Amino acid sequence: MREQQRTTDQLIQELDALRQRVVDLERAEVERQQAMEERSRLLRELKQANERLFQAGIRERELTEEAERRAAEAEQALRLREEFLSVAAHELKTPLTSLKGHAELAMRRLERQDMRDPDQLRHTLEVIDRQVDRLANLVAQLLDISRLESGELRPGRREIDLVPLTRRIVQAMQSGTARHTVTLSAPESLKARVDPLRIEEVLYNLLDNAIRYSPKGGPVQVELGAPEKGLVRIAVRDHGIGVPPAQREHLFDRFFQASRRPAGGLGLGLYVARRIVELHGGQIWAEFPEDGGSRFVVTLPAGTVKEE
Amino acid sequence: MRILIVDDDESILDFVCEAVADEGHEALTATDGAIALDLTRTQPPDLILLDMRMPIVDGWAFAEAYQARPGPHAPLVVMTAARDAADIANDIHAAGYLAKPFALDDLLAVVERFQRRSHVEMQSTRRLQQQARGDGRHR
Repeated sequence: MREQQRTTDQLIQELDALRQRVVDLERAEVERQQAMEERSRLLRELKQANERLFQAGIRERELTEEAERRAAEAEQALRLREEFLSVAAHELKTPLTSLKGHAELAMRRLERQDMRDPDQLRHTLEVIDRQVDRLANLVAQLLDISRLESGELRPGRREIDLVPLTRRIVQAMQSGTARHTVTLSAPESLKARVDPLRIEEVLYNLLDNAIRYSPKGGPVQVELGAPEKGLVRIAVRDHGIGVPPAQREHLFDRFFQASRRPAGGLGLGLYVARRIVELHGGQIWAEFPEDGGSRFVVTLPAGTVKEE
Repeated sequence: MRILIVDDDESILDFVCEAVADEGHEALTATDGAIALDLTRTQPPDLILLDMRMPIVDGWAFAEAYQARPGPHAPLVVMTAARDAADIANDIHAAGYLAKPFALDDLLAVVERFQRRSHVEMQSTRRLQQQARGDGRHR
């Protein structure tokens, strides 16, 4: 009996030991599982950290590119502005040269009693007056440009008759050139709701361009059209050198000058003209007829009188 | 003296032309470099007043073409509104410059300077010609 007891005790001990081992193994297994999960978790975190680092790297690259782009734009803007200022200075100095020259010449002649006839003095004063108009227009463009930039330009609209206004500008431009014939074709009266000073500026710019871009002279025709769909139409046609097709889409951009810069002007005329016309609720565009030259067309809100 | 005035601005051509004519000079005008180049062939001037910014053929192109030609060249005087008038004058080997807007007196002083110079040059050319005639030896 003792043998059996002992063996049974042994067996029980062994069983206990085995059970203990199983418990230990299970615990070890649990710990292993936990370790595995911990490892997975750490791997996941590592992956996420990598991902974040990668994204941060991309973002940094993007920011750097953005910064570089902005720097390049700022540099470009600065360059354009400097170029513009230099062109502006040149353009302002040209009428100043003429003003000074004519005035000093007249004074010199008066001193010498050299005025062969009073018409000469009148001619000189007319030239001076025209050059002042030209300077005034340039200054107006410069002021407009600065006000357009700051969003301050608000045309003060009134109902006016475009015909006498246009006729005045046509006559002024004609007296400044011997090689061109500047003509106006218009109804007896044409009312529009516009800011007269701003529209004068637009007309002046278009006519100045028409003359400047027909260096060999020729006709410049201004046409005023009766209202249609609540808009009146102004067209300025020249028979000059026109604009190369590649440059036509940039014509109304800021600082743009077709062909080479030597043609003069601030390069602002069409940009300012476009902004002014658009602020009036109108449109401006350029056409290039088959027989050469250009036609610039402006539409503006008609006056509130009956259309017939 | 025959003076060629080149400027795309007609009112500037106007007063410069009259100013030099008042002093007894002959004035030729051109509104761009191409016309000016033609005039230098048909009516060679003694002095050229040259604006730089002109359409078609500008001052730089004119100076290059003019100076590349064989034969005597009239002195060039640059008329420019640019800030670096002296540099421009140097670049195109001009004999002088007038910075716009210039005083009438400055314009006339320049003209007078070249009149005296061309007078002196004419005299020395004549002297050289006389010497050449008097000296019968050939190489």
